Amino acid sequence: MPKALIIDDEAALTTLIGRLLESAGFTVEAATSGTEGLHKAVATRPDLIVLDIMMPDIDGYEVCRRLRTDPRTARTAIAVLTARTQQIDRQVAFRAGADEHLVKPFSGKALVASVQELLAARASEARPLGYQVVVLRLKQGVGTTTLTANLALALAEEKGRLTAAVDLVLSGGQIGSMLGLPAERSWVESWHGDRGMDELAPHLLRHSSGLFTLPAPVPPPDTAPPEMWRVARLLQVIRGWSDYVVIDTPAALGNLASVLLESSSLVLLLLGPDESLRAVQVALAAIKKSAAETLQVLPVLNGLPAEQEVSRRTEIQSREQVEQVLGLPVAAVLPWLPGRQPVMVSQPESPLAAAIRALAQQVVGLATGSA
Amino acid sequence: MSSVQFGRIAQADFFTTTHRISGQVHTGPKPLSDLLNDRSLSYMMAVNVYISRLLEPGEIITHVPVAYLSKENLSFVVVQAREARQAERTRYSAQEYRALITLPAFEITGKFLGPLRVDMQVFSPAGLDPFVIVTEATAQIAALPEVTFCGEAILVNGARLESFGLSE
Repeated sequence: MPKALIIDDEAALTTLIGRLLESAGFTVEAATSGTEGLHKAVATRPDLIVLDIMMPDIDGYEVCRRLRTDPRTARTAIAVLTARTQQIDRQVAFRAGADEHLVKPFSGKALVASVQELLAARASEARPLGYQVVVLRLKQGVGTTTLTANLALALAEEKGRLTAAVDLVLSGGQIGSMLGLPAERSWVESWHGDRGMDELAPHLLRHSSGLFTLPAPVPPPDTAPPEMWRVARLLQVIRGWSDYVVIDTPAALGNLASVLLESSSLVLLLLGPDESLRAVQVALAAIKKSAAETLQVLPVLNGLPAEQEVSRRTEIQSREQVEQVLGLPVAAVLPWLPGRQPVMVSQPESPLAAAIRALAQQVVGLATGSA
Repeated sequence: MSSVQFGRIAQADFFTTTHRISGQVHTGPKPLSDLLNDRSLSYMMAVNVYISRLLEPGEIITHVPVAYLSKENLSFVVVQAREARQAERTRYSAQEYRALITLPAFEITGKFLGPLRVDMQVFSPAGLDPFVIVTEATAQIAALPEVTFCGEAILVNGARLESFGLSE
């Protein structure tokens, strides 16, 4: 039986809508303020929230934004029901994260039909586990963190999809600070996975773009690294909740390798111009040995020498050369990825941002089978 | 102690040159247009009021339980279907015209019910009610023309008119 939560400051209306939904087979909870609604949404995890906009304590748009910010309610279907009926009101509601904009006064039949249609559409989008992309490197300093953050931001631009960037560089990962979301508490000591997303939610931080991030602990934990079963459970929970997971990794994977290679769908192997192609071949052979058969590996070139510098003694000279030697198509050739701030935020119209969007589209194509 | 209000409650959007004010007005047995056109009242009480700035008309900046609206400073009011029908019933009009009205910060288009023959040489909006009814109406913010407000009827404050254009 689907669960509905009605958040409306008009108690009489809440009762009326509750009866309508109950007669349509819902179990119904009600809240008469935005604050109460936010609490009940987390406590009861409804399938559907019918949300008024004009409420005295917190307006419905803000309630909607907060629901979308909390990983525990980020996927809940939200139908806004409001007397603010203008086109601009629809736009603001959808921008805030609503799935449906219904207007007051309303007909009971139409209201029930609309929310049932909304839930049916949700059900028909039955989701497989999130598509997990690991960004690997063989050397320090080639830009995996920057690529992870930017690729995740580009994937987060997909409307209606949830993307998580996970920083597994536990000895000093930078994704959190790069996105302005430093970890205030470490998941490493507290995560056991018993309570799934309830346990993880406080550690998943939401960027203003909509991207969720699990930053590495700052400072790095002085305890032993987490056991691999805990990391595996962590990724399982995140994949169960998100559409895309992009993982930044340390240069030396150690025990992480088996967890990542078994659970991931795609490895993006980021190569700098000074990379030894022989070493890459060896690494690829090792990856293939321990990975699932379905795992795809695609090289990404971070910077190629400009034509006038081809004589410079870099090992990697061209895309074609890499494809020939490795026998794999290169997913993208990126102009050099600059440091600190993600270009998807600081220069979203730049050629580099366009190249990352194109790479994200390839990832979407692989995830949806349309590539 | 709470009081019980009898009669109609009109939900409407009130626009000034700087704000959008959404609220409810207890109108008693009459339509909202009668209250607006009542020349003996300068102010009108609205309850459960939500205020947006005109430059971000979808975002609510604050809520107040009660607000008094200065009628002379309202540019126009967007009303719901029932209010529009009630308002129209009170007109003694025979002919439908296309109307284009400009006000400070706004443009309004829609239908205006007027006398059978409007002679524009002698017609004067000054002879109309303080709030002119435009039906099937659309208001645009002049500075944000992509933002429109539609209603079964828009009640335009005649005292704020810059231009009033009619065509058959």
